[in-house]
Parts: sequence; structure tokens; C-alpha cells
Amino acid sequence: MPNPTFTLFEAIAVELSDTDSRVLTDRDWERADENNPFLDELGRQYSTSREQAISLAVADMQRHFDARNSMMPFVYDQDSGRFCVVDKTYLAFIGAMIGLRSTGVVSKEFEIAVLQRLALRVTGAIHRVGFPRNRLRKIAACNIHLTGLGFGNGALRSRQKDGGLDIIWILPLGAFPYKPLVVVQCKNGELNWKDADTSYASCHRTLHKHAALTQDAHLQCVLFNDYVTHDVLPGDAMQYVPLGLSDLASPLSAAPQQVII
Amino acid sequence: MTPKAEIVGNIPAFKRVSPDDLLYDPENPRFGDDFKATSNQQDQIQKYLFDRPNFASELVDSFLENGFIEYEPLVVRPASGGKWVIVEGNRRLAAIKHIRSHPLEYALAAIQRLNLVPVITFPSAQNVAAKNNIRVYLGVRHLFGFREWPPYSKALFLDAEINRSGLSKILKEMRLTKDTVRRLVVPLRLLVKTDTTLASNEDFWVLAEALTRTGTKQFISLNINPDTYEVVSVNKSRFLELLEFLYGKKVKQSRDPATKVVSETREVKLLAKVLVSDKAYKVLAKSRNLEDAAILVDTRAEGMGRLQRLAKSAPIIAKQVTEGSKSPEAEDLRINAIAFAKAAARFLNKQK
Repeated sequence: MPNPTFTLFEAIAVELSDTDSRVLTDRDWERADENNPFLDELGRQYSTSREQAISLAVADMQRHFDARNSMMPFVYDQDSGRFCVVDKTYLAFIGAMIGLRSTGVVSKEFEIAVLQRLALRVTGAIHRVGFPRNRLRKIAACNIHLTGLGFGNGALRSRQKDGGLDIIWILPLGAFPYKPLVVVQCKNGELNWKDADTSYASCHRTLHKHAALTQDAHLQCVLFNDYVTHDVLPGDAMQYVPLGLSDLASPLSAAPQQVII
Repeated sequence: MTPKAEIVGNIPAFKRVSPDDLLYDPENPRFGDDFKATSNQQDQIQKYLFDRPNFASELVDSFLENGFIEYEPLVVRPASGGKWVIVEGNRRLAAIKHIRSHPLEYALAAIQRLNLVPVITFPSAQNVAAKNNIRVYLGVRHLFGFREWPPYSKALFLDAEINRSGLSKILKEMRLTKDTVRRLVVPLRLLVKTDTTLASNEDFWVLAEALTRTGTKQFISLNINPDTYEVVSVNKSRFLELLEFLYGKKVKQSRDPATKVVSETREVKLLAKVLVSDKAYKVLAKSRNLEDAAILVDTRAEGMGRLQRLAKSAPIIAKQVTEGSKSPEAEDLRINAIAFAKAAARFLNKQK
């Protein structure tokens, strides 16, 4: 994770994993050794002292979460340096994600964890395509299953696992096979656009096999085990929505819909 | 010559006193020029000590967990009316006073444990010699201080303590962050698991820092139990290769530092980026040059920055190396370096 703000975010999340509150200052991360590049990087990012940089970084985190209608999982009292837990479950999720990151053998666990968090934020049905694929070993059986989600015959080609359809959120609009799908592809690693582009292409090909809607009627997202900040986005418009762990925090409000008349 | 502590009048004594009888000294050197208060403004001093920038707040949890550690008494000098003025331990006193003044926030038992705290009393500081004793004491304690254990010694101590008492107990008692413990204990346990040692001139902290990076962990397929920090599994040959990148290739019983690719801790971040790219890793393994390999993992923005620097320096380098030469090759190099710089500038301008 290249962004020191979110390195700090995860460091705080880890420290709060088994307590309700804790004072954490720059000294806590210095204590292991005076030479601490993580705090140096943070200081450089905000062009200020390490201590001041922590306050500025937390303010940045708050803005980042607010922009996603996500609840910041802790609050920070700048005067006393005390962090208090707001959302223990989400902090535990972050702790688990740190453990899973970039470990190939647990990508299924990553998908399941993402699915469970996603369920807090969306309405309608969410579906992990990897699950039936594990059960339905034969490609033909899995293709039959996919027809139930609106795909035409033979959506998956031989040797494909899930055709890039890691998680499908079936929008509560229209009726099968005219229900649009949101596909969330899970990348259990740090942000990597090349990886994401490859996954996008694979998923795009599968969406082409939908029975009634063209690819344009669906939406593709790629979710990283990381944080998507403005400074890492490519300048050009993207073909998929980049998402990160902060997009999976508990929503700020239960009914975020706006009705603008 | 061994200097002698000069004690005038009484000798230092050990006592237990109520924190209510302890006063802050606004003249204490800790306060410097940033903060001004008088002896009557004890509440302001309390706030200044408890919050930023002194953060006595961070000691609260330790006092609640451990009570007052008897082996580190506060140091005081007598004041009028049976009171004492703090010479050493301002932050600790601020945390204790905070706990005692918030009976609804903290458990009664924890508060009661702090009804009396141990102090060492300096003799009355009314004469010059006694004042001098206090000045020397504070100077030695805060300016000379003590040298921290090296990271490897800390790691050995923590590992033994965790094995004896368990991780969560150690975290609570010592008020260490998990991050600190993990940074120290995981590299030590990895060395043990892979039956490897570091030489005394090989900085343990470089390995510790490298292992905080996702790319490095991915490279050696490191799997850690997040609750105990036990090493579940690791790719040993990759780990040995990582040690070569950090400290140099093994030559008989030692390492050749000329073959290491990381020259300072800051570069471990770049190394981690390189190690997760197959292409960049191959270049690194062959060239042993981190900069060469890093080009392959540049983001577009980093690549543009590199191009800009190169465009600036190419004509200068060409001029320098061909100075005095009128050969067609030298002329060709100068012309093409300028042409390259111009083309790069045009490209970079277009991107803005």
C-alpha cells in the first residue's frame, strides 16, 4: 500500500482491534526504532512534523470515508491523542484483510468477506459466482446455473472458473433476463491497474454472453484489498469502477437515497 | 575522577504521599518557553501536560492496568504547607490526577490504587548546592538519558516474554503497539524458523522494515498467525534470497556487502515493489541494481518524472563526456541528446 495515510489507517485499525480506545501518538510508532520510514513518509506527505501529520492524515481519512457515504470506524481526539472505536466489526474486517492481502490461496476468503460487507451497503440480491462453481464442477452445469442469472447458453468457456464474475449484484430493476448486473471483481492485493484491466477484459467477454442485455447495460467494478485515492487514479476515464476497502465500511446512513424533484 | 553527588542537609528519602499534595513546578525545564504559568495555575499546567504536546493521556491505560510501578517513584522536593513539588514525573502525575478526578469514568479500585504514590524526596532546594543537585539530576536524566536496546535485543526479550505470558498480556502490561511487537518478533521468528542468523554488522531493523511491506511478504509467501505472530509458513529459498538483497550474497561464512541492493532502510519500499513484478525481479536478480529494476514498476506519473529528469540531464551528460572531442560520433551524441531533450519536453508539455 503506497499511501502512508492508509498505512496509518491500518496501523490504527490493528491497535484498536482488541480495545475500545487507545491513545496513539507518533511515539507509539517510533518506539520500535528511531528510524521509522512509515512516519517519515507521512511527515513528507503533509510537509509537517510527524505528530501534526497524524492529525492531518486522520482528517484526510475522514474526508475519504465521507465521500463514500462510509462510516469512519474510529474517532480521534486530537488534544489527548485518543482513538475511540466506532465500528468494531469493520475494524476486525480490516484486520482480516491485512492478513489475507496478496495471499493467493485465500482469495476465496477475500471474496466471501467482501460479499458480506457489500451486503450492508446494497439492496437486492448479491451472488458469489465462485460458490456454485465449486459445487458445480462441470462447466455445463455452471452454465445452466448462469442462465438463471440472465446469461445465455455457454456463458463460460471450457477451463474458465467463473469467467471473471466474482460477485454479482443483481439490481432491483427490471425482470430476468432484463435485470442489469453489477459485477464486482475482487483483487486480493494492492492496487494494480494492469491486473484490474486483465480481469475487466475477462469479465467483459463473459457479460457479452448475457441473454438479453449488451455489456453496456451492466456495470463492472474492480475491488482491491487496498484504498482507492485520487492520486493513484489514472487520468483517463475508466471502463470500470475502482473500489477499495473504504467502500465496504458501514454506510453513514441507513437510507442514503436522495429524491431530487 | 569519579564525580560525587553533593547532598546537603537531609539525604533523599522514600515516602508515599497523596497525589493531592503534589504540585507542579511551572519553572520545570520541561515547559521551556512555549508555556507560561504561575504556581497558582495548577489546572492549566495539568491540561498542558495531559494533552498535546506532552500526551500524559497515553499513560492513563497503563496506570489503570498496572497501577503505579513502585520501582520508578516520582521525585519531589518539599514545598510549604506539607506539600511537595514535582521534580521528575510531571506526565505521570498528570495522568494520575486525571484518573482521580474522573471517578465516573474509571473503576473505583483503579482510583484507590492511586491514593498514595511512591516518591523520592530531594532535600530542600533552598541553597545553591541543593538546587545544583536537582539541575544535574534533570540534565543527566533528560539530556544524557539512557541508550535504547538494539532492535535485536528488544526482539529477543519480547519473544521470550510472549512465549512465557502470551501476546495479549504483554501488549496490555507494556502498552506496546501491536505494530511494534510484530515488527520486532516476526523477523526474529523467521530467522529461527529458517535456521538463519544475522551477523553483528547486519542491521536487524532493515529486515524488520522489509517485512512490513506487502510486496516483500508476498515474495517470500509469508503466512503469519495474526493472533500470536507465529510464522505459519514461508518460502525458505525466497527468504534467503531476500536476505541477499538486503545484506549481500553469502560468501563462505559471511556476506559480500557489495552485492546488496538496499543501501538504506528507505529503499525497502522500492525493493518490495520490485519483488512483486516478475519482470522487475528478473532485472534485479541479474543486475543487482535496484534503480534499474525500479524503472519497470514505475507508475505513469513516476515514469513521467523520470523522463523529465533524464531529458534535463541527457544534453549535459553528452556535453560533458564529449568535451574537446570533434569526432562525428561525439557530435552525433550531442545533437541526439538535445533532440531527445526537446522531444521529451514537447511530449511532457502535451500531457499537462
